[in-house]
Amino acid sequence: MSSLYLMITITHRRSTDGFLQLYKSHGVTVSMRTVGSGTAVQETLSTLGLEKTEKAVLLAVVTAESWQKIQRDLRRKMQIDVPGTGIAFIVPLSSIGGKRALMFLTEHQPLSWKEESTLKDTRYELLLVVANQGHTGSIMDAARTAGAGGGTVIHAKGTGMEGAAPFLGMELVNEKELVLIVSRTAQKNTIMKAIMEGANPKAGAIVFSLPVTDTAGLRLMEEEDTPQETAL
Amino acid sequence: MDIILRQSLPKLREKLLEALQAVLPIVAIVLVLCFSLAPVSPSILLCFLLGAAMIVAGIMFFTLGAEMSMTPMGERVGAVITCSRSLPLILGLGFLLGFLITISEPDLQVLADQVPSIPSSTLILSVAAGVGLFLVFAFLRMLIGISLPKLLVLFYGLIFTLAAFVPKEFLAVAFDSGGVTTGPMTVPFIMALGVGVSAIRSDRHAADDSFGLVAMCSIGPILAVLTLGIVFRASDSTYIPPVLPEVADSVELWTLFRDGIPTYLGEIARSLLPIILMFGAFQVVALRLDRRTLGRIAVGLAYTYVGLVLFLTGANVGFMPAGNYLGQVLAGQAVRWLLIPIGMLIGYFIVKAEPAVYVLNKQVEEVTDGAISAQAMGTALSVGVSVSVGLAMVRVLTGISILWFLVPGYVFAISISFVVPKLFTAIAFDAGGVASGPMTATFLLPLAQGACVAVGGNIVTDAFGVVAMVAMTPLITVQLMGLVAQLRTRKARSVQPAAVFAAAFADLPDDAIIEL
Repeated sequence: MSSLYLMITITHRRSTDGFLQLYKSHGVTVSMRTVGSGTAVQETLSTLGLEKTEKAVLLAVVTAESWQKIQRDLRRKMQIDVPGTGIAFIVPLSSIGGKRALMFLTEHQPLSWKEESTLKDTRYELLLVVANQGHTGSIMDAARTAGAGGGTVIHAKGTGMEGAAPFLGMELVNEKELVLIVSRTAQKNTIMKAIMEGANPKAGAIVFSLPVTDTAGLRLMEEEDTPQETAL
Repeated sequence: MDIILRQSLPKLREKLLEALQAVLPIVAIVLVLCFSLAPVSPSILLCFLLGAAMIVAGIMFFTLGAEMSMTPMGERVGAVITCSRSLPLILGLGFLLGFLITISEPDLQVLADQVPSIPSSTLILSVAAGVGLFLVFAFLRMLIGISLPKLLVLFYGLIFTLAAFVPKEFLAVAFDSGGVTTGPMTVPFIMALGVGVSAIRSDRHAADDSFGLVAMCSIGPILAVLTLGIVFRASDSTYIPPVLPEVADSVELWTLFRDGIPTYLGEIARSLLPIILMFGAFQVVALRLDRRTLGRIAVGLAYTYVGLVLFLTGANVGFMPAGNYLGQVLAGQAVRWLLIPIGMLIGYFIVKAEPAVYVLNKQVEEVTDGAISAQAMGTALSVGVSVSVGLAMVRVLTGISILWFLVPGYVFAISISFVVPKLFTAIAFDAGGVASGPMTATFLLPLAQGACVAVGGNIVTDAFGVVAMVAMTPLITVQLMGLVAQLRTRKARSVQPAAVFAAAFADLPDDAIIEL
């Protein structure tokens, strides 16, 4: 199986440059970044607009070797285990299109070929929910009843089955929201069920999960029985 | 309750810090000036300090409220009218939106009072129609896909042609009108409208077109006022000097501010109302947002209202006299040229206290996925405004015609717009309208007017025009920032990946799917 991973980092927008610099020092030169927002943890606070919700999401491809070092540095230098600093986790890749792309993504990282499966018992899963714009509220409500901590929302555009509709000089598509929720493997199914049943039908939510092989910054979630933190 | 209080602290602390960072530098500069070069009366200084405190609170509330209410409202409305895919509807609503928002802008009334030779209602109606018309042009531009620089050449060409026929005394006021009418309430809303229209597009110009609406909307008023100036042969515009406060005790000081508050309560309510009504109509007919989102927007509107009232009261009662008096004292010194560096220093920091700037920077960060950070935008704007205040002070001291600065400035800004990435051009021309907000009108303009009085120049031709300068220089600095960013990515891209472990895959074809 793979020794290449997609590393997803969710953090505050102000700390983004620090994270990028750290990754660069480990040879991770290609990162994509986008902006997201954390979902509301506390209803009243959210209505009053007093919750800190702005997040940055960083995506990068890392090798198993560099992840080990990055994870160590995230803990030591970025103090990622302090709640609220951020979280980072890796999802295994199964294939890559073309060797130029592979080289481009991993050129400065140590890479060795191992024929072993790292996809054993993963302790965490990444739930991805794709829904129509404006329905994150009902999705997170449903997810929270099943014990989910918090999520991060990224604004997205869906092209749909019929593709983009042309209108004069523009192409129009639907606005979508992509909700990222990290949950324990044990809780995954109940959360997914809750979203499928509890979310507003108008949301048109599609939910699926990806295996998370390793994490950094989720220590509190590991130690406590009730996962209440990770507003990220 | 306790938990709510505790959890809201980080956000409140962040907002307070932001507001302090915006206002404290300018307070520090003014204090240093007051203690050394420019002796002012204690009552003006006290007014300034109390005004600054109100502005800090105002910015806190406004920035909190604008991102909760103005931004989502504009974005939803923009998305929903584009979704309708009906050209007459989009254009009709565009005109109506621009017209209604502008007609209720309090700054427009102030402008109308400055030019007595044109009937107030004529001026207000034609400026509002100008904004409406240009919002329609802006929508049409996006729909048909004409690039922004071409249109800018056309319209600014028209403006400068008209300017040749307008009496000299009237020029500065006409150019100021463009910056003045796009106020702190309309800018966030119009900007969000553009982002909303782009949010549902997938073609490659979508991101570029997110901005540029404010840019087009600031052209309308200039054209309208210039045309009126020709029609009415307007040659005079009046200058009403601000009344310098003289307070004997603390009670009088408070009375001064207390008397100002009702004026702004009314003004802001009037300018918020059309936006709320339009949005309400949209909500009933097409949007149908859920209760939670509406609740957030309502709370956000309340914050925005409170914030703007505090801000404008502080700026008008506290900052205006201080700016005017400082200008007089500084220009009355033996070394007059000191006015130029001091003005530049003030300009560098004052733009950070402009409420709409905060919204622009946030939106830019959001649309560019963080590639252009709010800080980078802030620096570009600061440098721009700093240069413009410097130039404005040069004008005050020398009395050179404003066209000597505006024509080369715009020619340069528009000509580099053909090489700068389109997104930056759109952001830059928006930034022009954004940077020239209430802070410019209540501090920089009085500063120039005060200096002009002391130098003995013609206030109408020399002091006015500050707003126009502040609206012009960001066009250049923000575009230059874009150019630098582009060059940097090009350089990075030219570094080719080395074939480190090519050997491992040497036997594979280039387009093989590599199973890991």
